[in-house]
Amino acid sequence: MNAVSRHLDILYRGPLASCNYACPYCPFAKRRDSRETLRRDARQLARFVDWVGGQARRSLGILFTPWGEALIRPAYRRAMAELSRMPQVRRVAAQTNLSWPTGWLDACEPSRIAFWCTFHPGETSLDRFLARCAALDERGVSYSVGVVGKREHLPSITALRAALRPEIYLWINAYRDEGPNHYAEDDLALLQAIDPLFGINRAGIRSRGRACATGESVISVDGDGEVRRCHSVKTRIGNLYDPDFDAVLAPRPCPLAQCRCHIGYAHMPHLGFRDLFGDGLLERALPIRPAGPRAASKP
Amino acid sequence: MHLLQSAGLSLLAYAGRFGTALLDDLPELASLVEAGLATLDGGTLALTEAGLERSDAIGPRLQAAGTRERMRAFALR
Repeated sequence: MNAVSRHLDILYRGPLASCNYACPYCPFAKRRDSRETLRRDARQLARFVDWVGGQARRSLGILFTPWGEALIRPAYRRAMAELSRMPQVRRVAAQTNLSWPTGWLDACEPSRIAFWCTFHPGETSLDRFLARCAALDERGVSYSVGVVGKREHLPSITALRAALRPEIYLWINAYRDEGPNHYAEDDLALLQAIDPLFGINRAGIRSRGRACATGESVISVDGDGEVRRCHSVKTRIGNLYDPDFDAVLAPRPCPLAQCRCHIGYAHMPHLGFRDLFGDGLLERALPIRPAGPRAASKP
Repeated sequence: MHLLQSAGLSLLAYAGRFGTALLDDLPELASLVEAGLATLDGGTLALTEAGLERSDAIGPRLQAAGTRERMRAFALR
């Protein structure tokens, strides 16, 4: 098998589940990990970084998708910095609340590090959050910004959109905990106007039986190296640290009725998200296009 | 926003207007790309020159059978 030119995207989620924020809608709000869990998480993270370091024959994209907030931990900052400097790593991204001082980014390769930044109204001020975005801008780091689209957040979302650089994609995740009637018609129109992909996130994609790159060129990996096709499908398909791990990578149609998460449906080839997002697919960032519409269609 | 014009159809603009994914709603459009009649590049589906030459046939192909039948049966009153 020719593994030389193969690219693999890895969604990594270790045991860490603690968070410094207290969002009322989140099961990990203000959760604390035991010292033992944090030690185990750091140990497993180091093993993962070592494994990536040994992958000279393929290119890799990595997205850290922790249950809680990982980048308040120096171990994750060091891991991202180290990974960003490895030639085989095309992209190392992380989901984060952006609540950390940005000095450590100086140790990273800015063209290969990226962030999926969630703004949490009530947990931080807009100004504080935007200052962190500006620090990413200064370094030329790619990022997306998003919000959980609770109705109560609508004024914050509008304010965020108005204040954020217009080129930065602002995604909105549909809030589902209160059922389909959470939104009024006007709310939906507003959210859809801010994030053109909101409707897709809200409705989800009927995925059963559809082709998806997960399980083939995109995998979910936990701290023990256990590999699943994606975070939503619990069936284990192998272990990253098995010497013959590559043998488990194969095309697999989606077994679930619906896919309702960017990190899942982004990898369904029929939707064209890889083309739409380009290099920003992992961190959910739409490409920043040169000023003016690409199709200069004025007569 | 029109597939049959050279500027093509933006996936994002379509999603913004309809709240759904173009290629999920009309998966047959992917066959245009496979046939070399369209390209998908930077989030825009646009007909190639060969596709534009055949655009009079591509439009009607996208009509649902029911719509086609209603158009056929339609009589001005």
